[in-house]
Amino acid sequence: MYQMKDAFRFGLCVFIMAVFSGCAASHTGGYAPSGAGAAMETVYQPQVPPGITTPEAAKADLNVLLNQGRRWGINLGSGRYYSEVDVTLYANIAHLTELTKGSTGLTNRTYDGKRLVYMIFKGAPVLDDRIELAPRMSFFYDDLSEYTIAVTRYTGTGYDYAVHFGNRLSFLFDYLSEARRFADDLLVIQQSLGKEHEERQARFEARVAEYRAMKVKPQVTEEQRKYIVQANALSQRKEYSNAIDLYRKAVDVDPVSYPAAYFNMALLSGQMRQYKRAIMYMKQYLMLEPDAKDARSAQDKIYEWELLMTR
Amino acid sequence: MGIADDQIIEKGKIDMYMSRRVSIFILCVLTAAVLAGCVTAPEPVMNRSSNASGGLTPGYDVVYYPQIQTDKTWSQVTVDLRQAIRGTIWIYTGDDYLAYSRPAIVKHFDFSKKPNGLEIHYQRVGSNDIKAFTLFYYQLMKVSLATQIGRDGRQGRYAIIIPEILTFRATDLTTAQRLTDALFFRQQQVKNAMKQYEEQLVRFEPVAAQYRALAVKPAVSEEQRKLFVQANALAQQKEYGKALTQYEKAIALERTAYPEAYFNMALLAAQEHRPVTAIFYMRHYLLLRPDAKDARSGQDKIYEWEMLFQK
Repeated sequence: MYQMKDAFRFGLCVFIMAVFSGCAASHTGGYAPSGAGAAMETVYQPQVPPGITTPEAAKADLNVLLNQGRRWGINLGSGRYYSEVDVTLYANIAHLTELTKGSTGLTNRTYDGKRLVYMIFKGAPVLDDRIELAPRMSFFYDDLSEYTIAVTRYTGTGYDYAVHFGNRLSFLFDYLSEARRFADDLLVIQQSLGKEHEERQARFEARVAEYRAMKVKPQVTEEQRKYIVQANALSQRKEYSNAIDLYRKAVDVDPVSYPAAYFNMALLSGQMRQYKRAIMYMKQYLMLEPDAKDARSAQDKIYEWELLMTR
Repeated sequence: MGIADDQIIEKGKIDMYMSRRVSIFILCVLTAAVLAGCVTAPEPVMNRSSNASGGLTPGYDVVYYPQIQTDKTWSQVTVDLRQAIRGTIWIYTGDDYLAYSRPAIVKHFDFSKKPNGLEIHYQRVGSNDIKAFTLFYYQLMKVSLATQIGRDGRQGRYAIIIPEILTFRATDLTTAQRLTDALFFRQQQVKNAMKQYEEQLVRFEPVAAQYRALAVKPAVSEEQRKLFVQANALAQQKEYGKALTQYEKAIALERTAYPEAYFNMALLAAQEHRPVTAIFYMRHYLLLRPDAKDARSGQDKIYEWEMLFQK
């Protein structure tokens, strides 16, 4: 019976693939500012802190700062960065609960009438590529390149200082010292981004050139297979960022033996509305497999994400 | 239905996904098609037991680490706990250890009803219904168990947090300590069982080698056949635990007469929320039939099950 269902689903998704529609999140409705972002008074411009020179050191310091047990806050801005619907509306509280499922550090959500004012966190895993507010709600360092980091006085309620990232989200702090430390650490990470990205890309391209020249393509190793099987299982359970972590582990073993991992990471990132990363992964996929059957639809997906990114 | 999931199945990894389903399907047909229900996805999985800071839970202080009690039996541990219970124990199930979720009061622990987990009977505040929740022992495997004090004012000062599964909060310290001890005892038992399984598998290797070398494989005896048929009938009625017991009896008569039994036993054990046992049986199958068509899918299942209880 289960097999039948699976086969049916398979058929269905072939259909979906063929049409390749319905993946686009419908974006209707405008953005209503909710406390954050209005009339920002900058109180501190970050500087590279003494003693913290590498991004690793900055992440270690962030980890201490965010997990020392003192509260900090998140304002979700327009409420649409992580979800199709405005999750700051009380009416959409179920969406927010789903989004923050599995968070280890979220302790409270505060509503003012019909709107979420802030969420209180006591901690969040600071990982190599992101701050994981919840498994489905992460703040990726890659996104830092789009912003000028600054500490502002917070005009909303609950906290005094904020580090805003447009209308996407804001980190909120009680004390200026905490906000400064946060901004400083992020500055170090931000400055390292371009260089790191270029190096990674160069390594990848070199390996791709090797891969294309190979007559016999490399096989998936048993270790990789393990990660891939686990990643597939996790993505079925909608644990998207955990699934991406495992695909990443698989491609870390050998970046070219399993091109589909890039395709999957792209779709998962797209699902999490991380369009920039989705495009990056899909481009990597196309570099590896320019003649794949689904190359056309993959490229179309990129166009779609490029549109969504600008919204 | 997440579209990305479907695409991943479609795009990816049909070779793995579909072939596994198909091979399992064939086996099910082989064994009187009884195990159709056994391939359903396992229960939700924990993804990270502790936060990146390496401590336990952000915003909490550890007040008690459980002690190893080698001299005690499970029944003694449960008696200790029963005698210690004072005040109220609250539970927050699932992700509901967040402050905004509705807590429930523990009415009763059932220590022996289920061999694979602890059954907790609870009553929601403002409700007359008493409901049951099973904490499966494998869910304890990734957890660093401890009694912690939260720096917030929720019902129950002393907390035992099993991330993403549930949180106990007790008003009395001794109660919380004995409960931590009991959970820790079970955790250790599962760990010991894993060690024993490992030793048994080492002893099984020569037996399997002998079997593989046989030109004429042993036949299933009439007595065994009876047990297998009964096991299949039980599985058909979704009595997975009983079916597993019946298979175990049959296997005890002659361990290598029917290798496929191990595959089925593994699926049954997984269905019963016993992934450690499931892996144990699947490895028997792989030792006996390393070249079987479904050996690949068996190994993949092992990877999925490992993810449930390994960090």
